[in-house]
Amino acid sequence: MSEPRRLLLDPDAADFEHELLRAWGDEQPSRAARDRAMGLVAIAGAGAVGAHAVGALAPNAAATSVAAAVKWSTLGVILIGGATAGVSYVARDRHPDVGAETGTATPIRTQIAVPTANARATAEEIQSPPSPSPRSARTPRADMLAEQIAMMDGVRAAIASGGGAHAVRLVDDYERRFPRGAFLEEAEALRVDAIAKTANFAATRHAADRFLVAHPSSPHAARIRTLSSAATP
Amino acid sequence: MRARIVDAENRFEAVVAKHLDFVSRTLLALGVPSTGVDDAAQQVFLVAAQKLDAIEAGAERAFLFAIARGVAANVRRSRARSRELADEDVLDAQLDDTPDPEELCASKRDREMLERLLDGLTDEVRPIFVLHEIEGLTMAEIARVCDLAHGTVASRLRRARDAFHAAARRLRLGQERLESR
Repeated sequence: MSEPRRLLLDPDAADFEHELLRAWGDEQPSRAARDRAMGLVAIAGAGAVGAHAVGALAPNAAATSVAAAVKWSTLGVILIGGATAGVSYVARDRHPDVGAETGTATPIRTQIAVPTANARATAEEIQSPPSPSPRSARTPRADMLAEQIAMMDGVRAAIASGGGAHAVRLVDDYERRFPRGAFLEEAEALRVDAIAKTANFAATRHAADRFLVAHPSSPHAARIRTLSSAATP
Repeated sequence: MRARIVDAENRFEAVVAKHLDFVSRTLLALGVPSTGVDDAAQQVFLVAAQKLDAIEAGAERAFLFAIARGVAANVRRSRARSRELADEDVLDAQLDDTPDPEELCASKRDREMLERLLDGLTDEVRPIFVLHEIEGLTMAEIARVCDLAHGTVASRLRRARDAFHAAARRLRLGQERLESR
């Protein structure tokens, strides 16, 4: 079967058709479209570790957190459209730890919660061009995500070795270092685990209650309830 | 671990750099209005970012096309208005709504006309036409991208061309009528 010649190159096709098809050759995406697509790069990076280290971090739960972040960003893309990725791209520069949130979830959540109030700020933020060198901006983000994962690994290792108090300190360190970190929910769940290791029942119940109030539908909730029950005399 | 993240980010950036033009044109050609192409392209690349590990090297364009096709279908479904070029009265009405051609630059006007012609193609044949006539893919490449038999691609392309020629003739006649008023 011979390959048909494209109409655009077919001398027998009508000139009118040639004109129409040729017009699409000039079609180019906007600079904004390019920036917005490039702004998703952190999600690609998060995906690269999601199936490995993040999954190992806390089976299901940490991966759920990343997935939740991605879901939020998906929702943000759909609902907010134009401004979102540009904002998240810029937001990473303004809040270095935000980039490590793997799905730029926090700024997008904020946008969804109060879109009107943020509209002006959004427009202003978009005025600021993103970093001219994505590569130079990217490596610190990757570093931060890796650092967060390593810190969570440290917490889990401390808990596994019975060092509850040390694990609590490591959770504190994480939250200070990454106040908008990707694994805050996991960190708080691990805090309950860590406190439970210290056999301080009252503190365990208190931490569990706090966690369940803050994250009632968390994938950790059932385990935290179990820890709380076990700490109840 | 950091190396894996950087590799994924590098690959994603390369995919965007290489295929954003293709994705944007494809979305337009598949019926996404020009005002919605940036949003739709971002949706496509969001999925690509999430699924990057699952995209085989060299199969990026096929993957992106499949996603773009789904995104475009969603956008079209959500659009309130429907265009049917097969109905000449509707076509005339659309032309009547069109700004004076002199007010539009020629390329924009041509692009809008082509959009209308493509809107008249069925969902079955439209992607084949777009990939061949606009993106210049061979039938073998289209067969791979769309996961269709070569013969199916050939027959759909013929049907698409027949419909395109017929719609182009009607559009041309309608345009000439307007110009002669």
